[in-house]
Amino acid sequence: MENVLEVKNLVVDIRTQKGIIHAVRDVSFSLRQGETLAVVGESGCGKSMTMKAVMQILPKNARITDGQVLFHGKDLSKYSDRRMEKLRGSDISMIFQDPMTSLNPTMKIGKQIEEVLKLHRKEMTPDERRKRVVELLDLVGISNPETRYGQYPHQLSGGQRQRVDIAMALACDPDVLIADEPTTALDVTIQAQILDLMRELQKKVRTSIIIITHNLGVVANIADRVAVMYGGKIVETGDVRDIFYSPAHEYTKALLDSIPGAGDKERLHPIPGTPPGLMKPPAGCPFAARCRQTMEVCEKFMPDFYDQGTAHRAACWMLDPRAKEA
Amino acid sequence: MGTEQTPFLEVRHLKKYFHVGRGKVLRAVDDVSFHINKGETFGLVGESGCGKSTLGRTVIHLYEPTSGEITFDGIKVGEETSQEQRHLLTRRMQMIFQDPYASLNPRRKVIDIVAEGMDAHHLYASEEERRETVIRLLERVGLQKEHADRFPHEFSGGQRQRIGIARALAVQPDFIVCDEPISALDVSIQAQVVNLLEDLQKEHGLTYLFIAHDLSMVRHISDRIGVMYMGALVEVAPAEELFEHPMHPYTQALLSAIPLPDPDVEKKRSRIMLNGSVPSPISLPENECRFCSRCPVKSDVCKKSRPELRELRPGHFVACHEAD
Repeated sequence: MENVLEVKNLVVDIRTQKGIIHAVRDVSFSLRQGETLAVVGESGCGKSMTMKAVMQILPKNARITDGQVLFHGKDLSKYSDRRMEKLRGSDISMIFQDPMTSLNPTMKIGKQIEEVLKLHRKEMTPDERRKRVVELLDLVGISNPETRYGQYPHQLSGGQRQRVDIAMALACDPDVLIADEPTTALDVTIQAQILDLMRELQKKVRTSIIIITHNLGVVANIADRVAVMYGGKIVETGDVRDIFYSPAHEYTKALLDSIPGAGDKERLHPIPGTPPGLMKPPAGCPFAARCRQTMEVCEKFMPDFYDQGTAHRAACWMLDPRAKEA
Repeated sequence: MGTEQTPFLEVRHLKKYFHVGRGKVLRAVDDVSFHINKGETFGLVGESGCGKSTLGRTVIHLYEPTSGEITFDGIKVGEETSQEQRHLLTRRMQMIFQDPYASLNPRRKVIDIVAEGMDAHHLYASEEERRETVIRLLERVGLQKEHADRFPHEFSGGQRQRIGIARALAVQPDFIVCDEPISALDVSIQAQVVNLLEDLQKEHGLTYLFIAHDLSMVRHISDRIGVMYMGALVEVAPAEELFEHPMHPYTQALLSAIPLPDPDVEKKRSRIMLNGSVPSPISLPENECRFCSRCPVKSDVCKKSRPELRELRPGHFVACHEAD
């Protein structure tokens, strides 16, 4: 399958008063046509920053200091702001966690979606645009799209606003949709509806999706492949079944162990400690300080990726053949 | 827990209404009755706006109830016979809040935050005793002695939640309302805090009202669970019973909506999708089931009368006309 998006050795630094935060440290991954890739990790692990770097919407004090973001083979990190503007919302779109803050409260929702078309589909007439917006609202499951067209964001519920956000992101049939915690602010019954919607839309329009989440249930529900991030690095990637049924990295294992099983009244197994600060990231494996299996080498050197089968790999010293002897 | 013992906390026909202007009334908690036994954890679940937090706060009289009765260890809350009795109640009932960023005063040191209740209840004889107690509490919740003189912004979310727990423990309560204490925390940190709460419960014989929307964690920590919808308790049952045999159509839909961390299970699962969205909680119709507008099994009777909780299996109560 063709890679729509390929991120190679991406490094993002954030300048702050106290020093430089190494938020994304040598991250590489690829997204294939039509698949859903879930990026999981704790807050501050660099998952949102990686996606912002892909979209070139990093905060002012952050920048890509190394690496490439290849979209259909072209390096986006070399694109000018003008060229990126053309791409964003048209070829790559993003939806955010809180649909209340990403929609303009003073603008009718129909008009907001039309803005995207005005910007990227200049050949459309006003009538065509309006028709397309009603079509989009219908596609994302908003009832009475004609009426909703003229309403303001505050007149909609959280789930409906997230649907509007998705409609806006899909307005120009993007190749890639990046969803940053799209259901975290929603109730579970609404979350189920939105996940279903994303799955259906993917079948209909063949968009490739990257979903950022910390909810392992959501990952199991929607992902084809998973990338696990920790301390600014990807530590394991694999098919969703690999990650859940044969996790290879000690962090992935510990994370899966920390959630309660169905009907499990046993004491939980939390991961002790807290994630490392990225102002002075550890020289070796970022998880070494919290790991059950830490060896001397873990703290000193960052392990390479070890293949665990086709398309399943993890960066953990325990996978090195020499670890068994030690 | 046997049902024959006298309940530690008993709530009867509790109502909490808010006047929201123009004569409109928000019935956040509308005729809720339940009890919690000593040493038990009662989980309260429901979606945002269902009234679970309001219920938790009304139970410990952070909000004045509109009507209804709350009996705590034989004492009627709000009708204490003396000043001392009231003081005793405010000491014995404590709360842990959801947002560890908003619930700690940023301008006070940790020692003063934790000792606030002790100050109010005069629980120490000297400054040294105050400091020693705070340090002992901090160490018990997994923080260090040096942390006492720091400010909240120097701590992570999980550590802040530990400070909130130490504050609640400082006055030696026996009942704690935990209002979404882990919702703002990362997955690996959630388990740390849940273990801590469980350990403290065993050590001090604490009774918890545990409010949350993360159902898998509620299932783990609770002995019994109550499900709320639009200000009403629609189902109450022992934790495993509720998850294995949900009887209210809303509970069934809610449970089927939780994504489970198991890809093969997720592929095969069928979901009960609810049509329509949550109705406005303002000016709800008095005499019909609140779930009517979204219910997949409703009948004529649901429009005519509001269902009461009925015990359909041992210890399993359901407020639904159609359930049997």
